[in-house]
Amino acid sequence: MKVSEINVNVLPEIPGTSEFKYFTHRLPVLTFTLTSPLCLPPSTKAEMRFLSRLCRKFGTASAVPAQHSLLSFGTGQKMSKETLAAIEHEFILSGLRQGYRHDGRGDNDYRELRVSFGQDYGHVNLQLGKTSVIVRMSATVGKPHQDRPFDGTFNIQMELTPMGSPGWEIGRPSEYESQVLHVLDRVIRHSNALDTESLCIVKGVSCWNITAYVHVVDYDGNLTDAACMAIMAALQHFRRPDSESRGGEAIIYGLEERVPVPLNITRQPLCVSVIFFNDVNNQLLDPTYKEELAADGEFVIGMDDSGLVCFFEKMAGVASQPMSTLDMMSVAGERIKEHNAKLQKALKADLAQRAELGMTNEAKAANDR
Amino acid sequence: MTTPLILLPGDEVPNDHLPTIKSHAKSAPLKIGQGLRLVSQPSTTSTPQSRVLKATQAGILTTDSKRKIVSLLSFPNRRYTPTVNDLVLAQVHHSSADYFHCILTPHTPHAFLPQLSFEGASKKTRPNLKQGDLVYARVLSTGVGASAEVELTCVNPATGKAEPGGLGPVTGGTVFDVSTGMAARLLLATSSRADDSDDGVAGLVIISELGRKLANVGGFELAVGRNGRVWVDCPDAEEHAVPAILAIGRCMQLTDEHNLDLADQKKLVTRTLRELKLAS
Amino acid sequence: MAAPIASISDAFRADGSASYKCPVTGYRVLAAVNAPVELPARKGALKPQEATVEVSIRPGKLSPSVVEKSAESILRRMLASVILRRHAGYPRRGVVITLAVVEGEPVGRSGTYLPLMPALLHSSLLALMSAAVPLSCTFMTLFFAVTRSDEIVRDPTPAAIKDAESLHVISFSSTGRTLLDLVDGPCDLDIWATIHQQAKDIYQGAAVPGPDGDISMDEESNNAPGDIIRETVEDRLRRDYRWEFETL
Repeated sequence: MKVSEINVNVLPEIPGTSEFKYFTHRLPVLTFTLTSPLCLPPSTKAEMRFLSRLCRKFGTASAVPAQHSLLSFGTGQKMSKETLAAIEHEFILSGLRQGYRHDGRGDNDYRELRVSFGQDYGHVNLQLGKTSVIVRMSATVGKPHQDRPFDGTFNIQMELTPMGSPGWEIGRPSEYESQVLHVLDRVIRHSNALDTESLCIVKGVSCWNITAYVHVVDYDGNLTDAACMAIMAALQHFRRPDSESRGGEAIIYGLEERVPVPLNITRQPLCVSVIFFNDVNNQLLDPTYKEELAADGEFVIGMDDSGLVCFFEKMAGVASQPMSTLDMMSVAGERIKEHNAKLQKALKADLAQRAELGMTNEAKAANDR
Repeated sequence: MTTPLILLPGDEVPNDHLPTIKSHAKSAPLKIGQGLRLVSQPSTTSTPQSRVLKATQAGILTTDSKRKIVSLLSFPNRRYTPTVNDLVLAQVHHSSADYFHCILTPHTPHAFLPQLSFEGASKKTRPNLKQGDLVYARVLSTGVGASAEVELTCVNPATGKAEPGGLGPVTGGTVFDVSTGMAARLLLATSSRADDSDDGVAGLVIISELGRKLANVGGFELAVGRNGRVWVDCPDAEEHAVPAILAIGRCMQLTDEHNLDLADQKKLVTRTLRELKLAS
Repeated sequence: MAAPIASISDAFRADGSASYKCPVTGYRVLAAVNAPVELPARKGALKPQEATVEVSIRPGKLSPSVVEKSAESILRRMLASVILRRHAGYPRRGVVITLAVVEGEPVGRSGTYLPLMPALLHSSLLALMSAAVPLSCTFMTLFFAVTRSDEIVRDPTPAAIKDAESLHVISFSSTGRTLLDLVDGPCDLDIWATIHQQAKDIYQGAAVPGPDGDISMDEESNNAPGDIIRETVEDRLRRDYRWEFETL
């Protein structure tokens, strides 16, 4: 398969972001969304920025010869101070050469995914193999941003503490922390997965501030995907107190007064991290910590259920092959569909359980009366 | 055996659990092992002969009446703390003029391995170790006081010769991480290979089972470091080397993680070898 | 009264870990301990003769603020008094304790941290034991509220905490020392002494007279948190050393 041509179009859809479509020879259209940090309206300026980024990523912007490798960008620094022993590194590579992963998985397999919910709305426990995260949601009433009077806010807070790994220190945010946060921000927040307009209570006066707090309980690789899934599950699980505007004043109803309302989720984007090895020509999904240490490079694909790519970025490391990178897109799409289905199933089961519990409680209350 | 006595920090060791020592005899004195400390003043009014031992960690009391050692078995997932005479797998971080600076466990200060502490090493013939190389070494001293620095050696300081344990740089194969508790058990299991009983040593049969079943690919070599690292190689297995090494590593790690009993360990070995196509 | 729920050594990366939940207040705290480790960020503050204890609390669904800072310093001082900081291998190293409140309503900027103290302290203790950090003793922490009618309530519910005149947290070491005695709110000396005595009685395993002078015969209501800690540790050790004791 050859990529004959790549066209870049500017298709404004969401204000502040510009969408670029790649038309390739045979592949379905890949849609990349680029968010300019300055919230520039889509213009030639934004286009220029994107083209310059493309140049850095793909070598030349307009057309990428099939065998041309992506130029590396990023610092090239591995995120951890820990290093593998030389023989350990070599053994991981020779295993991959012969088609063996340490835990017996295939290259595109994920580890076991377990999701459970706490008593609170928006409390999610998620484990991906030994990587374990807890997400808790909070909703407070605040003032909207001046330039966005109709929007509420949504933020993701995550701090890597020594709980997850002894190498993480409090008060010294690592490069890895900001990298993971950056991906989560782009995939979930900037893709507008949560419709922030629905969080407005009174125009320019009050709105809901929704925050997702991510606690990394244990870290064995692929934190990005695990945290992304946990936040998306939490957003769909969360219920905020009901509110309305009456005569320009915000009225918030307590959880006892009115049934709390779910958030308005417009799409369900998830991300898939891929690590690759230069001399082995393998790409692995859901790397363990040791595999991450051994990898030569990493890229992350963010996509929603319909296959719309909302994020793509190559992190630190050496150059990757553009064709195999594109191949990964369809694999990532499948995985994301599977994960979304698993999350939906868990959410439904929890909802049913809650309904049942609510019925018995009601019956109990009726009995008491 | 009676039910194990479990102590929490601050608990006193009951006197009837201590090995009997005749105070006047020339027998060896009582040695206090890990997790216990001698509290100088007895808490109750008693004869001056009596000692009070208190636990400093949570653990199961074990006594070795032959060697007069009493110590606590603490949680197996704890961080390794160097003790003199331990065998460890050290990873070279960098080298300075006279020393290799080695990592025993991540995020602890480096241990020092003198460049001349290898068998037959001289200023000209000392090994050239680079970052990431592994050395099987013995803890020579852990230092005293504030400047406590851990020193390692690859020779017996008395003879200047390498020990039969095969100390020195390790090449080939790979290392696997296990808990410190598992490393101690593996050391017991590998050092007493002679008895090939079905009951296993230290509750482990994976090593003898794997030894028997991997004999057809030429067997394997194992070096266990107390710091929770195990080096494995199958030098004669040729194309089966990678799956054979992986099988050994997976059996060790899963036994450790799920705390498998002997029957489950045997099942694990059979299953793992089948998965890796080393046995039908 | 439901008994607290505790578990130990669940984490994979941290040297020691534990979880502790108080069913009455609804707080569940995860604790992780890494020790002995290097503290490159605190190089200047390390003491040559003893270990440095670091405690950080993450309040679950709020950003950490001054109330966490003050709770951290209380915990740090108390835990440092229990840890044998001069034990071989510990001087100039750090004992890093990380606590995350994963269930229960967070304490706001103006709130009091006293209701969280039992869960914070007990989970820390379990995690310290899990990491085999040398300790001079264990401890147990009790929590009381005094209502407006001067009634003493042990393990008050969140509603009772809100209405309480004063809140009390008392910690005893297993050697009988009082390690911590925190009071929030006005309280006269007599009540303070009564609470102290009641706590001591619970600690010593004595039956406590109820508010109407009756002696409670309910076993459940009098289980001291120390028992739960001991049970959790014993269960886990028996499980971890099954190989040693079941094969013999």
